[in-house]
Amino acid sequence: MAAAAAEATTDGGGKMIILISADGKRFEVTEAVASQSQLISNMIEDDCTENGVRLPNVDGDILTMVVDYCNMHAGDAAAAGDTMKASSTEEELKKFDAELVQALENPVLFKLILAANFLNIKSLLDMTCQRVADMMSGKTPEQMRETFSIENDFTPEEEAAIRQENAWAFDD
Amino acid sequence: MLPATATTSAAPPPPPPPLPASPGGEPHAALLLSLAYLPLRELLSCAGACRRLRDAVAGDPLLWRRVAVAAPPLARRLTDEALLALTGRAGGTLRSLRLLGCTRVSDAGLLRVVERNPGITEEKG
Repeated sequence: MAAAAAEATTDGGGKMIILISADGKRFEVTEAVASQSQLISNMIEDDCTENGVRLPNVDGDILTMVVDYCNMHAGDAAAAGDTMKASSTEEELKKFDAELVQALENPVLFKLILAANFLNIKSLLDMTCQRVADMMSGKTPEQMRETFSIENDFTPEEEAAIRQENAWAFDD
Repeated sequence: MLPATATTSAAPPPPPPPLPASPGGEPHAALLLSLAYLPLRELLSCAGACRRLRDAVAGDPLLWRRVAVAAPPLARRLTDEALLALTGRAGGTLRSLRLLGCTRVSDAGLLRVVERNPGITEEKG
């Protein structure tokens, strides 16, 4: 797993920076790995990662997944670190991604989406949101409420109105 | 008697606030972020789940800038009137419209949509 005890230096690879989760867990990663986050990439450009990057709305368990994902996807840029991971093929990446999102319970998947959005990691956001979209596929409003624990707060009139509006699509 | 001394060692960091347990509550913010990834059928269905989702789907023209109706159940059912309502949700900013097998949509209906959306760049019958 990632990363809390990663090597402190790399052999001539990128500079290391430290990410600090909401619950105080520290993750040491190369700038190249962290730069997959557009947010952090901007911070690196602005030279304000010296004292670690605090991420007050990302928990350690979620940041672990994010760092794993970024390590896996850093490609050649990560070559200084783990040579096994750095050389992951496209096929391995696909398998890693599929297993990552498939295995997640909804609350974790949701947190990962919020983290990907906050950190601005587009590929991770795309992948996790697509997982939600896949889970919605073919579902009725009632089934969506069940799947995602949503309360039906419509008045009968509102529900009738929206059904009317979408009648062309759903009513036989 | 034991003196009731309050120890004043450094307080441990407060535990993260518990997630609001939401068995049947508001839709999670992550669902709102996922709306942009839904095909039309699921987008409409989702809007029927609760007020927050209905308003999010109705209130975001960006979700409606690209409309595709290209698969059997919806394609066969789409009427001129429904198409006009759907594409109207983009508030005149419709960019791309893809229709396949929409036998009930007339040329006149299509023309009306194009007239109301001058920014449209892609259209397939």
